Amino acid sequence: MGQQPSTPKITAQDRAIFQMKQQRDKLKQYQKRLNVVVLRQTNLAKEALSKGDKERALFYLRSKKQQQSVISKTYEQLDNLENLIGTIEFKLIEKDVVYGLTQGNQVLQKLNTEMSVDKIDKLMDEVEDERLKVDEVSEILGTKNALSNSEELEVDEEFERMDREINGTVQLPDVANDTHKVSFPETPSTELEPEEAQKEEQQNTPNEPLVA
Amino acid sequence: MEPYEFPKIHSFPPMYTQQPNATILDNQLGSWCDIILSYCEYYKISSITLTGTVIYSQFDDLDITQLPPVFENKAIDRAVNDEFKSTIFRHLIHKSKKAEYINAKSPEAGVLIYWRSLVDWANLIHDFVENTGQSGTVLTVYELTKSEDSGLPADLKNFDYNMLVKVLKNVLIKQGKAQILMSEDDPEQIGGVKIV
Repeated sequence: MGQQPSTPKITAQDRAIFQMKQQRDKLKQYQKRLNVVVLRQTNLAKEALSKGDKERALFYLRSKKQQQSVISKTYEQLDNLENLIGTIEFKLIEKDVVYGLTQGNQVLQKLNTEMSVDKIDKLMDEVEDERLKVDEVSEILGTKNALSNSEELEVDEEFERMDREINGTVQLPDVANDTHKVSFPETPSTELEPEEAQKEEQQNTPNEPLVA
Repeated sequence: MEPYEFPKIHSFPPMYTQQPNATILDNQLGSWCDIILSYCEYYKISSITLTGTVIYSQFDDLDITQLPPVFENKAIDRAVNDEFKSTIFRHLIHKSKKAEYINAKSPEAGVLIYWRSLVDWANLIHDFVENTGQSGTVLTVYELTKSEDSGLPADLKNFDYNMLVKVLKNVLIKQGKAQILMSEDDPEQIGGVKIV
């Protein structure tokens, strides 16, 4: 029970906006009221006219016109208020942005001081030194950490073999089709043989990878 | 709007007299509570007096004096007496917990009917504020319940002030999601709220 969740704080700006919004609401309610009055006066004018009371009808219409001009004035005021509220809210956001930028700048500065060029240079030198030492030792012992070229090749070959074993049965026909399509236009340019022989050749070539 | 269609039990004459047997009475009170809740939900009634007169409905074009009375059935010529009405409301408040006195010190001021729970109302309000990007800005009560141009969802339109107070004080403030501002014209009334 003792731990109450922190409630959002109401700032002075919030209060200012709240005051203006209250004014705006009042204006809106005022407009609504005037609209009702205008509507009633229109009806009253109609009624008076139908009864033949011309003077009274004119009176209602005049008064209605007056209300309408008041309504349009309140719209201007409403516009002003809304503008002001909007401006204040936007300024508040700008303030937040500036605050965020300052914070970010501070962090960046701190990080930069931690990473001075001299320090990094020294660090890199040290790393290089250590690496050289390792190489030296390896050489003395006659064993290099890295695999030789031929060893790498062997690894690649074994990988391909394994790949064929596991995936080969599915992929192989696809591969054969591809080579068939690709090699098809090339064959005549390299070999100058009768057409029939060429065809035989082409039929044979795609089969080769299959056999292998 | 079509008038509310009462359930069949509303035309059952014994419903209108308090039953002596405790078990039957409990059932009877339960049925009455169901009727009240569904009646109020249908007409979006948020508050009602202990005699069953509607105080507030969210439908602003609804003539609340013309609604079919909940405790009366003219077809079978029956009506609940005031004493039993109070008993029914006590059941709704203390047993079903689906209602609360507007002012605990003066029950005759009426009761708030929770056909939607306060927590659900709170979520609706909170979602609206969040989805319209108004978290953290001060909103007036007028803006939150009445205004035509704030894009209010239909459920919140013309939301009862008394209900809003309950939702704010009993749920949102306790969750640390809201802070209220008192109205300048009437320091007793909540004028605005900041929801995060």
